[in-house]
Amino acid sequence: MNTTLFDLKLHPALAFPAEKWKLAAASERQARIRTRLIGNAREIDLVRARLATEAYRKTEGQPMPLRRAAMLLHLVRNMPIDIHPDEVLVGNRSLLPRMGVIAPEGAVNWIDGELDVLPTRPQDPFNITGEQIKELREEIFPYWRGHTLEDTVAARLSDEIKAAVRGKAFNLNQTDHAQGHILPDVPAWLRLGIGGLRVKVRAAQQANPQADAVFYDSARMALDAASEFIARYALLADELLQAEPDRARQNELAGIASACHWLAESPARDFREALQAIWFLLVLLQVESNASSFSLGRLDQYLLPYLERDLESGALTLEEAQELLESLWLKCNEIVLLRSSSSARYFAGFPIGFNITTGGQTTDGRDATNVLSFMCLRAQADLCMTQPNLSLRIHEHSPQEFLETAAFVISRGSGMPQVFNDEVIIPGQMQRGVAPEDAMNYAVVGCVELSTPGKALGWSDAAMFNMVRVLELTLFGGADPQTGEQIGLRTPPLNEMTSFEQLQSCYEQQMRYFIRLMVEGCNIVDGIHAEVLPTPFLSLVVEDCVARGVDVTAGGAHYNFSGVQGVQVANVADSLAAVEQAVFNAHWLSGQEMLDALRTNFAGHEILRQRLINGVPKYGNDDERVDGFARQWANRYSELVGGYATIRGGSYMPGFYTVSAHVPMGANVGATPDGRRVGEPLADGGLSPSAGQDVKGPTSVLNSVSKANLELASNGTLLNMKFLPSFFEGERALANFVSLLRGFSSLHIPHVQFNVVSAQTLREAQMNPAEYRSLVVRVAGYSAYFVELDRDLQDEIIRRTEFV
Amino acid sequence: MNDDWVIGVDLGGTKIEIGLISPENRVTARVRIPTHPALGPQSVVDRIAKEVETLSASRPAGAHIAALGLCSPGPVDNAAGTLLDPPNLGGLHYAPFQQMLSTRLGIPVEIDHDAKAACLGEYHYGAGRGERSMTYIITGTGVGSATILNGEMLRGQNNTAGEIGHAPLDRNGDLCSCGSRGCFETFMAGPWLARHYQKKMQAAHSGAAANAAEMSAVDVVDLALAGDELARQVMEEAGSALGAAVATLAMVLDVDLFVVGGSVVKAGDLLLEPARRAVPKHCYRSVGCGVRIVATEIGEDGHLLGCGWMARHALAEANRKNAIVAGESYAESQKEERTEEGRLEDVEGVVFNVQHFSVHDGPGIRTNVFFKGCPLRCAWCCNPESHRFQPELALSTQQCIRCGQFGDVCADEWSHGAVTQSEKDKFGPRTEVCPGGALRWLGTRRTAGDVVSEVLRDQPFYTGGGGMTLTGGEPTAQPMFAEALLRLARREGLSTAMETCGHTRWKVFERLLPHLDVVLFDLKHMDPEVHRQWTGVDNEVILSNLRHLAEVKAPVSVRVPLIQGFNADSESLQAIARFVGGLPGLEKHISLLPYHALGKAKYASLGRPYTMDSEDALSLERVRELTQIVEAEELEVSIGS
Repeated sequence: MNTTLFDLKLHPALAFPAEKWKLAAASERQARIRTRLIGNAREIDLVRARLATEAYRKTEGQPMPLRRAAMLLHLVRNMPIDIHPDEVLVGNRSLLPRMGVIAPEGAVNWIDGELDVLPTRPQDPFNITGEQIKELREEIFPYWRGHTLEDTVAARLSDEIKAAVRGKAFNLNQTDHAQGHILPDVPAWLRLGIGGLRVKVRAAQQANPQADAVFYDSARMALDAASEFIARYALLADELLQAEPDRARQNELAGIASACHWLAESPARDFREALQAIWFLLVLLQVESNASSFSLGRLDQYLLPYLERDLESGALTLEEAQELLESLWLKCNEIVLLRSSSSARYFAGFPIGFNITTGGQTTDGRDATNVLSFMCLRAQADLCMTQPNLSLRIHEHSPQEFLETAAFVISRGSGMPQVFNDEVIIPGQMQRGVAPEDAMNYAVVGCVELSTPGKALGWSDAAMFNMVRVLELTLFGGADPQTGEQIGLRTPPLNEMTSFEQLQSCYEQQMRYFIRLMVEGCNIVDGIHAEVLPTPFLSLVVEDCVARGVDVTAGGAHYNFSGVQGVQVANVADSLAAVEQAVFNAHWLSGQEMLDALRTNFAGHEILRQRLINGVPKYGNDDERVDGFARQWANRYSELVGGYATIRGGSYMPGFYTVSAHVPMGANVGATPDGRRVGEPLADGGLSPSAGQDVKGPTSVLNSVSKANLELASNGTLLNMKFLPSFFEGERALANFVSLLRGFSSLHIPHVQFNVVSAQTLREAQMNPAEYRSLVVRVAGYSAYFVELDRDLQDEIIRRTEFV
Repeated sequence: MNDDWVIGVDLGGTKIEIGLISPENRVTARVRIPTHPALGPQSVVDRIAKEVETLSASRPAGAHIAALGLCSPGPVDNAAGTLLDPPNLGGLHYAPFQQMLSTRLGIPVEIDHDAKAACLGEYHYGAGRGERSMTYIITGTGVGSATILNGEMLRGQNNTAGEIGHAPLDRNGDLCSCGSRGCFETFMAGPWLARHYQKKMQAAHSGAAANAAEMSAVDVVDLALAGDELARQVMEEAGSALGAAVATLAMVLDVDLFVVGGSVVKAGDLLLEPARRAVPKHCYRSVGCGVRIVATEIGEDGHLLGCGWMARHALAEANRKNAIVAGESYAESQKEERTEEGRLEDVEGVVFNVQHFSVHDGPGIRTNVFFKGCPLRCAWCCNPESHRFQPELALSTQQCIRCGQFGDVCADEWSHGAVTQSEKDKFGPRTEVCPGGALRWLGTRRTAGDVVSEVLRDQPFYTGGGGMTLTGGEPTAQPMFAEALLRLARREGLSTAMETCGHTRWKVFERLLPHLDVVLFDLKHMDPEVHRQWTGVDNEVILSNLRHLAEVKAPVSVRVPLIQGFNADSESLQAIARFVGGLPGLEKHISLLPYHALGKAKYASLGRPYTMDSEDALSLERVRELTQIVEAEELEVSIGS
């Protein structure tokens, strides 16, 4: 056996040893590609819209799954493709990287409405030309009106649900594009290849003759599409090779051609082909669906056999393998999602959700860390880009050096890897009926959603429930405080309540009412997806679909869930604590006066507002007086949601995360009793304390967060923590950070991610000190709250951190 | 749970103050009547009884009054329950008030000397909580004092033990009312302060003498607080005398906590700081370094609250006697004794912060318990809120929203000099309603059990060798509290560390060492005089303790703060390194902690001047050079902790 491989098996950390940490950087080639990607202006690509329209016109009257498969085939045959300079892994769903692709079957109305402002809108702008706008408006959009997902959903939601959505109690998601949010069966795709899948489809249909033939016909057509798509790249590489003057590049193009020829029908043979096959899978899924969050799963487990074989045979050196892996990292940054303005506010910054999970445990409970786990960490350290979304699974026996390496990568400031906790997630999945070996094998979807690779449709971004808005409505008797419109149930307003318990019972009634409506809405949307947007290609790589002959959108997956997020625990807890103290216990003011202050956005009540902020305990400080409310209402929301079933079978799963939705969802809520003004953002993340209100350090935050039963939050949770780069100075810093991670793990919190704060943030802290009260500065043996330092010293620290 | 209401009676020469005391030991209602001693004891008893009835009306329905405690000027025979012959209570000599009041009201009664009552109040409900021994010194027309030693009131043959007022400090001094010269009272008692001020005025400008004649001690204190130079001199001299008296008592009785009450203490540190400075001049360093002089925490209520405690004591005694009479088990009283000795959880101390997630003070992630109070005054100190032993008021002007609730704006009114008592009286109540959280009390009195349970919340994070670190302030200055915390932490299996300046009695280290995994010992300078100039004390005790620690091979880690102009030079560091290197039991390692100015803003919020120059930060190259000097003495060096 190759010595290197032998050593690496014993000491996987050799793939990214401590002495190389500080040297982490992109190779010359990768740096060139990265610069090109970052500098690339975002354009609108009309090809998909044009070809999809052509395909749909030709297949009118046929069953929808066949029409979808035919569309895929038409697309892969006719879309322009390219191989870019320097690329070793190839393939994209648009001619240029990072183009905004329009899938008219999802929606045309919002796009039409935004065409003129696309280049100038504040979040996620795209360039678009006058001819493109003309073509869309005159030739494409008219064909689709009335038939899109968006239009169908709008036509079928009940008035009651629409009123609740308009009343901002919750948001229904996945109403204007295919929904994605899934972990395809990457190991099966690698193992079987396209040829193997053809065999599987045939065998399944023979074994299941009474099943719908349309499913299998569409499946075959989707496999043809996949094969033709990959083969086109083989031909293109051959073509380019003829014209290529550079010898080294000629070799690379030959390699690309050979890999693509092979993969067009056969399973991957080595590490490089495995990476290429995975990327083709993701591109094809995107061509079919144009959706967010097709995630890769446990890449370090899937690729290990391929890597070990190549290292053993000497076909690859470790360094070459690392560069190949990083090529996949770069590829993941080439696809962005065109979202509506409103959606872009909820998911700001083009997150596409190519999530990769590393570490964790094997299905039989052993530590799963291997050489690839370290290589994934190194890829993140070398490149520091926003995709893939790198996730790390921690458990009680995670190796110290793996966690210290992760701590180092986190200290570089990209916020990755984010950390997921086996100790709570695995029992949480099992409690939803996931088999133990599948629960042990969980991976992350999109941002922080939890699912079983290759076996589940988690539909994890079904809706967001605005718990704070529902509390606001409860205070005002179910009516909007500004318009007086009755949105929720008619319950007594705060001024008519005689006890705090009465407020809690009214809140429960309103919550039940709106959760019921939310679930009804989600079920309607879910059913329409199966009707309008079946996904024959995706169904090939999700277990049970092929065997049962049922599309994944129609419930073909082995596990079926829907995830709905409760937003935001911190503001609910802080507001309830404030009402309890100010109105019912200490009698600072009457219920009526509180309502008046809230309705007028605390105008003329600044002293009251300050007392509500500073004189009432706040979530995030390990203070039971307020954390008790966080526990109570997080658990209650979870229990209520968990009681509903999806139309695909399986239960609704609660989650507590918002991505960037705390800003727009805050805009939907008036002034709240925690001292928050009208329209101000809610607490960030999902389980994070309100900004600046956690003043007792990170361990107290974790203690507060851990009080709810987060096993119930099986769709996923999100906790943000901020650290200064200077925290990571000194030889013991990483070990201390790992102690914090292990404490997090033993407290059974599902997720945490770290923002290592920059000098820029510190400058913002200087300008808005109230929002940064919890920012701790650590310097040589002494800690202080940044905002309590005088200006000169703040400046000094800012200067210092810029050199870290 | 105690739900008895009791009565406290402070019987004075001209007036009697009667207070109703709640089960939580707060005076909830009070009344003052003239004494008229000439009308005789029965009249006094009748009038007290009448007021007790009136006061009873204000307590909640169903609550009953269980006992009464009374104090008066001495001498008083506490055991017999009678007054003896207090000079200003002419008609009441030898009145058996305990028996008279008990018969008249039908409840247990205890009587005692007023200084002793105030001492008991302070010991149980004020600055003496959690202590084993303390002396209470109260100034008024005269100076009274009382001492509790190892939990017992020191009484002597005539119940007058512990009195210091007439100890001669200057045998050629002023003629005292007792006939002796230069008694402590002639420096400290109210009338004398006015007299000293008058003299100084006459010497300074002869014309102002007439005005000065009208003055009281309170006026002198107010003048001193307002910055009047002569009044400050008077306070300075009174403080030095107080320090001498304290040192004398510390030598005679080996008490370490001295609580000062009475109207003069309003002067605060203008009086107490000179006293603290004077102590070492008059006693052994080993004794003086443990002495704390603090102001009363319960102020004017001391007498009544002390009487309240006496009432509860009388009640417990009566119940115990009844129990024995009724033939009930002896076990009950034994249990009571055990509680009196105290559980570790109940020991109290003053803490100004429990800082979670500290990574610089001992191994791993640590939870730092900051003790309030320090015997040193290092010029570079970054924690000025740790200097004094008692809770104190601070205002962060940056956080003041100028709310206008109080008529004036706190941030404008806040003094940039010392925060005076009158300012405390003015701003203290505002902390309750300060909307921005700008005005706040620094430091709270907490039980060891409460602190350790907060520390234990961090237990999930101690996997990398982390645990609890005592710091401050100076943990050894509250030895009982420090010991209780360490023992409780050890009981839970926590790693323990303590940061110390080393300025304490060796005995304290002996007590704490068995419960400590690491001692982080600050060594600042080898020259006693330089040390004194920059820290307020010389280094003799500190060096002696470090030698001792080395001898017993204690797990000590030596740390040196690097201060420009003080010790950040090759000579000073070489001396330190040689000393450490020459102690065979010590690890050959020193941590250098370069100066930083992070504490500057805190000085402003406490209204104190910051004497360091924040430009004094050392360059990295300079720190490296200094490191080499230490390394040349064959010691390892780390920068930071």
